[in-house]
Amino acid sequence: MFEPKDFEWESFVEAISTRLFSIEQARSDTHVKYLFGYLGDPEINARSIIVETDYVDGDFLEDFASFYVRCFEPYERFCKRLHFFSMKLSRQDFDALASSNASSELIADVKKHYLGFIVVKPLPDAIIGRTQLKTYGPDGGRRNYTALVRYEAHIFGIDLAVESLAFQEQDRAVAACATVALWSCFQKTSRLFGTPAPRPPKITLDATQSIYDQRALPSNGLYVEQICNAIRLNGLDPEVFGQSARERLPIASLIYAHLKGGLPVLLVVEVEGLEGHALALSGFSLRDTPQLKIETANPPKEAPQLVGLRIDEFYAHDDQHGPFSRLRVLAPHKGKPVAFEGSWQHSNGKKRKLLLRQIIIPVYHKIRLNFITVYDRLRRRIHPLVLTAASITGHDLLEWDVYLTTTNDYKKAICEERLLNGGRLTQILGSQQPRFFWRCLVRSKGMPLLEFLIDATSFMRSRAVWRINFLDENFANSFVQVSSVSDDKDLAATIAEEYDQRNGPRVKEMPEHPLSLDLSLTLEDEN
Amino acid sequence: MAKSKRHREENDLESVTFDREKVAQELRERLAAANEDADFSEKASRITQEDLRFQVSL
Repeated sequence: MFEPKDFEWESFVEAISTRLFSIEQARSDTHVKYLFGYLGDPEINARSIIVETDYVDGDFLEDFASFYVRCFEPYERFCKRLHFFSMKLSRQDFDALASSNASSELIADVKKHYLGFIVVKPLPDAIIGRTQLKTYGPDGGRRNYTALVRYEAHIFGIDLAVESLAFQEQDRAVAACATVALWSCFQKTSRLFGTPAPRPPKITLDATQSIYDQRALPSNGLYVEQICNAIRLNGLDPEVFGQSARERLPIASLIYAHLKGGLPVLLVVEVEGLEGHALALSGFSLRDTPQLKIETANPPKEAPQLVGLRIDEFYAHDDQHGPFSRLRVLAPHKGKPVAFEGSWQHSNGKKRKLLLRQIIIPVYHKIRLNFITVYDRLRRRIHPLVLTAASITGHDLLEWDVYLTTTNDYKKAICEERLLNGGRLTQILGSQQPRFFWRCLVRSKGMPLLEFLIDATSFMRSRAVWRINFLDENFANSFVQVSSVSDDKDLAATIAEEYDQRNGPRVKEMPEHPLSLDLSLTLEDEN
Repeated sequence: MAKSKRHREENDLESVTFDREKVAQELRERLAAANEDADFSEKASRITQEDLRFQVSL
């Protein structure tokens, strides 16, 4: 059964209410208010709803089979699904769609204006089930929703699609906040890596295999170790950044480095004055100018400046509020690490801070070099060379843009960016590359100078830097010469080899003597 | 000398005028400062029992 409605507060609360969840409850429910505000925002501009009743939702069916069917209370297994459109749908339009008499223009309009859906679970509380809604626009490029999935829905034989990341509210029966945050993350990792996208009951049961101190179901929450266990049992490795990392690493840049590569990030926080909470991050807001003075509470010596200083917000699935909720980044203060501020408030309306505890990223097993190793290598071996070369050429305000990428995404990016010359571009597009690597691009006042590509499938005691692209000829000259006076001969040799290939491969004559290949020796000879 | 010239041509390296000794010294100082925290990576990677037993229950 399908029913059209205008998108208005009264029709929305009526549509979302059920036999067990009254209109009055809906009016005062935090999630209902959040979702109405989100959908009604001018950037989303919902104008019509189509209510689909007796909808069989796979996720709820699993919850039902694992838990609710065994309750004495006869819970229903069918849900409601509310579809949203940013166009007015008249009764006449709706009847035409429902009877397969719609014009091709109307069908195209319906597809174009589709905003996604909310599944309403037939429960007395925690009614917000699988929710897949369109994101806000890019706002001139600052908003980046990177951990999204293309979801499809079908009504009246019409294929609809939306780019989103699935959200749902915890029910405290089969899932608490950590379970639903993991569930959202697994939606994306399953598309990235071909690993499973388990449903909440399986996630909770997987997680609770490791530590027992309370019953798994009903679920009252998970320890970080249990979260890690659920990740491992679903074919991925948990990359955990704990209390040592949160004080010494550039936190906004660390999160960005994974989100930019499309990986969702699970953020574990302590809500000020309350308890531990987990959120799934799916995007970030990157401004043109620095938003934070610092992003590391206790930075290491000679720490390079990273792109994270320009991030003012992350976008989080906070199951206590709603999807894509804004999480403002608060700079470290008096030695305390980065914190966040979002929708959480004290009873007097003052914002509650979200204090960072852990960052957990579910990664594919072949991603072996992590952010810490790459950042440290950059800091200790590469950045001093860059700084020294920049002092010769007069380049200042250096900023490193470090993120995880894949060979396919990188090849797409370099075609769009056009930073490389034709010969080099052709060489890289045609070359075999590691499936995952870290792209470390340094800019001066926004102008790219050079980039290092570090093989993420490698290991700590390896060469790892497998490609360097010189993006500014003047800087390149100084950089190569500076590297030649470095004691780091391995790196200097890689830099010299890559410099030689900067216009693409060359046919070189055979050297008269093997040592003549060593650029650093050649340069020293000349002086 | 002939070898050096050929190599410079081969690599298209334009001569950049700078005091090599001064630059080498500057670089050494930067590398030494950056490497004072040589165990940074190991320390930052540590996961404590407190981390693992943090309960997420809101």
